[in-house]
Amino acid sequence: MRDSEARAEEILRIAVLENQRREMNTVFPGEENLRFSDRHEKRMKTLFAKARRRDAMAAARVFARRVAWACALIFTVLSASLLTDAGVRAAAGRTVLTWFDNFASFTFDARGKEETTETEWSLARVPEGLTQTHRDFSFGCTTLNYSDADGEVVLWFSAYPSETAEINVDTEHSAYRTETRDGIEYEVFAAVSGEYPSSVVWRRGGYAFHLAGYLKPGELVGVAASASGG
Amino acid sequence: MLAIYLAALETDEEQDAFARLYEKRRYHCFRAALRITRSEELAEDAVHEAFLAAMRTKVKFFALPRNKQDSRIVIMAKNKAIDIMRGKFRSALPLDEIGEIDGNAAPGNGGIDFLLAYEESMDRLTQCVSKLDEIHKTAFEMRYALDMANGEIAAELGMTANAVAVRLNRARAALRKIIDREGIYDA
Repeated sequence: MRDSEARAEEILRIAVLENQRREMNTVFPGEENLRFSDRHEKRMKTLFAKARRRDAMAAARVFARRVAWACALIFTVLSASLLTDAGVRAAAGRTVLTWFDNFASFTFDARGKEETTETEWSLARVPEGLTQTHRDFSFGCTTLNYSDADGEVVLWFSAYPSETAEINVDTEHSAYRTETRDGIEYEVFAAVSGEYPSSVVWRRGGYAFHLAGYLKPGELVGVAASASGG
Repeated sequence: MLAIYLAALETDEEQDAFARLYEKRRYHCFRAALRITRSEELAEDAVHEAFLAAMRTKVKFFALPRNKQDSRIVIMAKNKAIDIMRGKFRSALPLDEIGEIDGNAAPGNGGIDFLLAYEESMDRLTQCVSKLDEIHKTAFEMRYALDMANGEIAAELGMTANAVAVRLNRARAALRKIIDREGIYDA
């Protein structure tokens, strides 16, 4: 821009600014008693109130986001520093295992149950074609395995001399129900597919029993009902 | 709890910036709009829309120096008044009062070197500026009072930067015409 042009621009700027100042400060005839209508005042009030609310919400959102980030950061730092301690790591591992056990096992209610004498148990009615391939009786516990013609173990039975015994059952791939026969309540875990074994657990005479196998749940309960001791 | 937090987070100044600006400049805006619309109801609409538009560009608006915020809101009210008049009374608009609406005025060459001769007659020159039509006057105010670039003015007025340049040239030509007609040394 040439000097003369810049100077002319500056002169025009001064004139425009001066004119603007005069216009803003001049009250022309007829403008002395201007008043806004109630309708206008009301809508301007609403406009400012809305703007304040919007600003407040925006500020609250920013604050909440910052607090969340701060909490996440503190939690991460604390967790990381705690896990450097071997004792904490071990406790955390135990907690995870306990949780897993809670989700993957069935435990009888121990309240009011009595301990019992040692008895060896057997199954009186086993489906045809199965042969007993393992038998163990130690510390009051009876363990029996039955295999099919191919030698595959398809049925296994355990009896524990305590009604408070903890029995591990696959609760994830089974549907739970109870069935009562001859006054004994059988807890049935029917497998959702043939890929998984079904299980039956029950209590009788101070013992806790677990029978599992690749049989139909009804058939499995029939075998369970044939368990006898002594 | 939230209210307590918000009260602590935002000062009164931040919360009520627009309300205070309104209290301070509402009659300036109203009068400026009224001179264009000649209707109190339409002038109120222009003031309302000006504040609404300022709120939509709040960050940019409050980035301006305080004195320019005042000018800006008044100019916004004028622009809104012009928009309202253009929209509602396009066919019946008295061009001599509101000025060039469709940009049909003679473009002129846009040179303003002639102003150098009037450096000592600023008061008279200011009076000539006051006689410009509102569209040209507002274009000058945006350009010279608010230091807005052509692109910024274009965004504000919803037109192209080239159209803004043409409007400013026409405003300069119109100013020269007024000076030639009225004589700068008459005062």
